[in-house]
Amino acid sequence: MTLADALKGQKVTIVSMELSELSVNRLTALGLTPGVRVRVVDNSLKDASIVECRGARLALGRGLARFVVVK
Amino acid sequence: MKTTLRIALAGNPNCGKSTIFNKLTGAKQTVGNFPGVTVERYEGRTRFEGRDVSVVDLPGVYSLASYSDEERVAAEFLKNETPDVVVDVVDASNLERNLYLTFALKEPGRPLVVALNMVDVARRRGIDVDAAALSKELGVPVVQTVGNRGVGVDEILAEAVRLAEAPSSAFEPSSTPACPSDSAKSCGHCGGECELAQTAADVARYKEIGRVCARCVKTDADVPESGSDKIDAILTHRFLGIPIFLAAMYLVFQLTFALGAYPMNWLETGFGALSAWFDGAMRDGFAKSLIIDAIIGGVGGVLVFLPNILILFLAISILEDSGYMARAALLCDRWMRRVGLHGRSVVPALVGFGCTVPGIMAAKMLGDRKERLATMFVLPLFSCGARFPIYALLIPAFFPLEWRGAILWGIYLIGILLAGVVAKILDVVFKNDEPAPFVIELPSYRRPTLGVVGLRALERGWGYVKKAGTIIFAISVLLWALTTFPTLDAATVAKFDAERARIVKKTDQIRAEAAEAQEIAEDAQLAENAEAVAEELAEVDAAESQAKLERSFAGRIGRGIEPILRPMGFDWKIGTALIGAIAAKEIFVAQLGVVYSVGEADETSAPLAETLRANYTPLVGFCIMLFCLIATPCMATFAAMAQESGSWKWAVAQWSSLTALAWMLTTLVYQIGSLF
Repeated sequence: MTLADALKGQKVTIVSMELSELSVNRLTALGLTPGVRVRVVDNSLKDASIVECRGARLALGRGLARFVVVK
Repeated sequence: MKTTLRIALAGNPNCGKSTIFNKLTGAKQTVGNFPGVTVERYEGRTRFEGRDVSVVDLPGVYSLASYSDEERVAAEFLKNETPDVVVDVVDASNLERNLYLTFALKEPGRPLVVALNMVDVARRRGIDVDAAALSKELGVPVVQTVGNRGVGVDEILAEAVRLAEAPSSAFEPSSTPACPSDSAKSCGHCGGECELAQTAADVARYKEIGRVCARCVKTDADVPESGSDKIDAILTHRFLGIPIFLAAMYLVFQLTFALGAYPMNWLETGFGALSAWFDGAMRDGFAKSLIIDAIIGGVGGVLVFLPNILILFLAISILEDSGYMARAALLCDRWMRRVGLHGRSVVPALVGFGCTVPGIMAAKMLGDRKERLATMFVLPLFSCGARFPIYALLIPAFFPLEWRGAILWGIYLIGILLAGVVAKILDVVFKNDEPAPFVIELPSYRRPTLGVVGLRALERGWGYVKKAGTIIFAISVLLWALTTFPTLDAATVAKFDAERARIVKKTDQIRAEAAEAQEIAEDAQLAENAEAVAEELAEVDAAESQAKLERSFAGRIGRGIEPILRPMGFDWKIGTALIGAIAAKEIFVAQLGVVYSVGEADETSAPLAETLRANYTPLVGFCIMLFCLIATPCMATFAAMAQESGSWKWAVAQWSSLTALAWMLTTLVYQIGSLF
């Protein structure tokens, strides 16, 4: 399952990020790393997922969320 | 001991750093740009225990890895300017993520103070951070602060002074394993090995942060969901979000133009009075004309927009500071992305409909340099308020009532579509192989601190005033000279003077005759005579203006460029007016009035509209509007572009490519239109 498929309110753990170095580094600086727990705040927007992670609320474009593998 | 202590303030975006900065330095701050980039550099001074302290507010960053201008600027500043002490402001309610930067900042030999900010907000959310334990874990002093109330600000300074005076003893080597230096990260050329090492290092760093947090942070799990959740459910709603955003922007514009109209009026009245005073106090001549037409008319004409700009920046600062802007960017990203822009580009674009200059200045808030440049580049295509008088003159002059609204709408729409096309082209030119990934932090909603937003608006306004006093002043004088010199020769002036004298004499004669004949003086007839005389005199004045303009450099240039204008259906008269539009778009109307010698003209000028209708086809009218929409961004835009992009080259590139595009499109439209 990817972050884009997660449901609102669901708590998931990031398994891996199948993205370019640039994107991975960006997400890392914002607190998204393999193993971290993420709460899905809203996934109803057409192009973005809103998540909460390490106390910060982040919006990720679909292009990113679709390649963040979670469980 | 150095006399001035230099402190750099670092921290994540939205950690309350600006508020701390303001509390540290008060109003004694200057704003400038970091060299070569559009990142604003705020610097302030204060005194503490008899020492001068200078504080530099670094841009808010998540890391020092040099992926954005902000990160590069912050990393380079720390490396090259080696401040005496670095103060890292961290958001206590979001400690884990904020500590990532803290670890990047922690380097042997760099005195570091951590300001644990917004402890009150954190406590309300059930998060309690043990500052003493954190200090022990990190090996650096930790000060608890509440920025908006100024709590802990003096303690920051005290710690900074202490560290600076005894750096070796105060800075103990960290008890944690050496964390990877961020400078290693920026060597993106060494390929796979580095990348792998980096990912592992990042994971290790977060593991370490997790360990630190486990020891220092107590979280009350039973705290109810934050209010941000409920607000976000509405403001980022998939259907409601966009209408709410549009309404908010509409409100901002209304405020900008409606509220700004009053002070703008006072300024206009003031400049008018100033002109009148010089008019009365000075003898006719070049000096007088220079002061009234060039200096007051040119610089004053730009300064009257200052209230609008202040209000606009205040409103935008409030939206930014409250946390809403990040949501707006999220909502618009979908549409902007299609042309290679960022969601946040939507705000400068909307501002651009009012005036391009503040739009370009609002583009500051875009993080990525390419996107910022692309946004600034296409901004003049969003038809600004100064172009409206041109449409207001030409549309009624050439088109029947039922077509007028549609044509105006069409012009604006053409501008928007072209902006999309040009942005897309730039996207290809910049070779954005991978668009900057869209990920944005949605900060918790909070009440904006008036001190922060007010000061920032004032500083940006002051930058605008400085520009008006320098660049715009110079260009105004230049344009004035172009339309003034060379002057008419003595013989021609004498001819016009003689003409005026003849009219006055004739009138006197008629009056004298009437008095002699002892006719019952009919007031109506006298008044009619007086009116006729005034009209005749005005005609002579207008003819003189036309002769002057034709002889001036501007007139000659107009004739000179006629061959280039021909394919678009323009003649030298339109060309001369277009030269005026280089200074400011609205001058086109006034200049056209001079060319067609109808005296003072504005967009409601019926005689000018009639003259135009008699001389040109509706196709030419449309072509003029099209050309004015796209071509020659005004001089204020040119100056703003040069300043904000950090290079004159960008301003020149924008000016010339938009003008070339305008020429091609207008020629195309005119040539195809002429076939029918």
